[in-house]
Amino acid sequence: MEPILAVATGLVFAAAVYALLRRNFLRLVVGFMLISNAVNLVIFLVGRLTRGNPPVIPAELEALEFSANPLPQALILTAIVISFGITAFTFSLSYRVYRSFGTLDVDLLTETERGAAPAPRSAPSRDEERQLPA
Amino acid sequence: MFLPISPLVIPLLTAIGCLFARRSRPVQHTVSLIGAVAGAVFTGLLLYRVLEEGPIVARMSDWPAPFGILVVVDTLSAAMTTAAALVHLAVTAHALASADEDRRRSDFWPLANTLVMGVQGAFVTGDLFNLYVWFEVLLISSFALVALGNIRPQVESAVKYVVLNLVSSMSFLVGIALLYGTTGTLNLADLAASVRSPEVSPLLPTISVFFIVGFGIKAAMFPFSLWLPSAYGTPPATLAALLAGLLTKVGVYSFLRIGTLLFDGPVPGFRDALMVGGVLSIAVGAVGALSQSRMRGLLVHTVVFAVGFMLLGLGTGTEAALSAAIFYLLSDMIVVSTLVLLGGEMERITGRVRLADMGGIYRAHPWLALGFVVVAFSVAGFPPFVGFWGKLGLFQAALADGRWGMMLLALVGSAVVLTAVGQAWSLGLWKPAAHAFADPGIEWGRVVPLVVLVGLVVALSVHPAPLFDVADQAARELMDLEGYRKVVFAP
Repeated sequence: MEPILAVATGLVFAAAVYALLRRNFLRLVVGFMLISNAVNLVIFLVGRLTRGNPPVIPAELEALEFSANPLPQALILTAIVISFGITAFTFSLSYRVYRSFGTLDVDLLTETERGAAPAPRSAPSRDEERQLPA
Repeated sequence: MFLPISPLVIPLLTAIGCLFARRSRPVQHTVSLIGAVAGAVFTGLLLYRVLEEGPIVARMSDWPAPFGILVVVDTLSAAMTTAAALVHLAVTAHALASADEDRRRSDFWPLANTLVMGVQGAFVTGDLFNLYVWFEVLLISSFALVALGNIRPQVESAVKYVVLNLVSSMSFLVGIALLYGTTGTLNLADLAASVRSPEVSPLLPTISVFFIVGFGIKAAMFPFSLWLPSAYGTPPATLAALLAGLLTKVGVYSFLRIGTLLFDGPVPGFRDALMVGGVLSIAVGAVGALSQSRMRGLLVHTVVFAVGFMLLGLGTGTEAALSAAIFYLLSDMIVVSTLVLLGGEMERITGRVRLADMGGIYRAHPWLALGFVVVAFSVAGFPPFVGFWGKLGLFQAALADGRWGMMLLALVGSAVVLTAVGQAWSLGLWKPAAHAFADPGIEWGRVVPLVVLVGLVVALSVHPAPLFDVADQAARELMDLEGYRKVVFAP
């Protein structure tokens, strides 16, 4: 079971890296979602895979031999919550990118590289948005 | 019991208070200022107690190590929290005067406080997964802060910053998972023993690569530093000062803590990787600073340059080198924030951001120009300023270790940065004003924190001995793994 899941995790990683390297920002967000799930699978895998052995120690035993480690599952839970919040943020950022630039192609976002000076005092953002194609 | 967790609790309470006071700007400002002052006072007390009585451990819910999550405050952690709280206080005081124009939205205050909570949490935690959680706390706050304001360059830099830092987090998390899989523990002291046991997994060097990539992106180590100039170059100066003073330093701190505990020794090439990364960061930061036409661009490239020096100290790895790196790290938190705030003042006074368009500041505000000289030349490592003391220590330690070539390159890098800040001085401040500017005058709310910060830099320059003592003790504790273990596992 473990080798199969390991290969599957590798495939998810590959798909995630492919999506992260795309120019479209939305695909990039999808890539992030994939990579965080792939990482969760890695954490899941390192906690051992077993069937039908709950990690509860009976009173007469000192420790269990063959059962899954329950801690990685708690770690995954934390990681899922964090990546959920960050995914929500990246979606709102992609909307903001589209509103500000009229495109989602990250290669076209080169304003700071061309040395265009950012306004030292932030211009009222709503005025600026109005001039741009929605 | 409250003292070791106070660096976390105070920003949390302040952030909650700021959220409740969203409707009222004066209340929010008062709460923020009280929180920042309390943070500085309590971290100062914490540092004092750690220096007097040795490291403090707080067990969350009283779970014994290695099962529960620990807060471990040794000299390095306490000194880092104190420096971070000072930067936070100065930036808060500065932002009180500048927030109305810089941050129209009131979201700045709660986010700045959660950011500081994440930074302080990363400094004090004794648990590897907990370190990841604090990283995420500070990251998501900084994501929102960088994007806040919605002007186009800010949105653009937020995209780069967010994507690269997410990759960094994922790399770090994979490293944690594999390390847990091979050792079965996440407690740092326990891990330090596991990776040194004879039956350690042959995977350890591979795992260390995940950590180097993860921390390298956070610390802005070349080749992972390319997000930094745009992310720190576009937000308002107040916010950029907070980010530049705290965020990359968390990455360097993690290299220090995790590097000495887990990889320095068990992984043979670890020091060399940091050494090469450090030298490349120095070169790229120096050349980048020289190539900039904007004042802020020049200043933020020196962040990469400074991180390179700290990594050089880590790469040398002897106790003297670690001590010098810690000295440099602590002083640089203050120096870099001051420099970015001063750069912001230059932009505000002249109303321009390009060096060629500036000028005339020396004539209009000679004291401000003098402050800039002190801080900028400290960054370049010009004697007798504080940056020079840190570099001197690093050079001595590295030469004692026989690293001639690396030091020569670092020296050349310093000369290039000296040229760059000289250029900033002559073009931005000394030459007659390129454009007549309507001088907005001096605002006391902005100037007082700057005067305090520059005064602190001058004080550290003329009397660096106390900071050297702190750095020496921190380095001694870092090298003493057995002592760390004893503190953590003490009943």
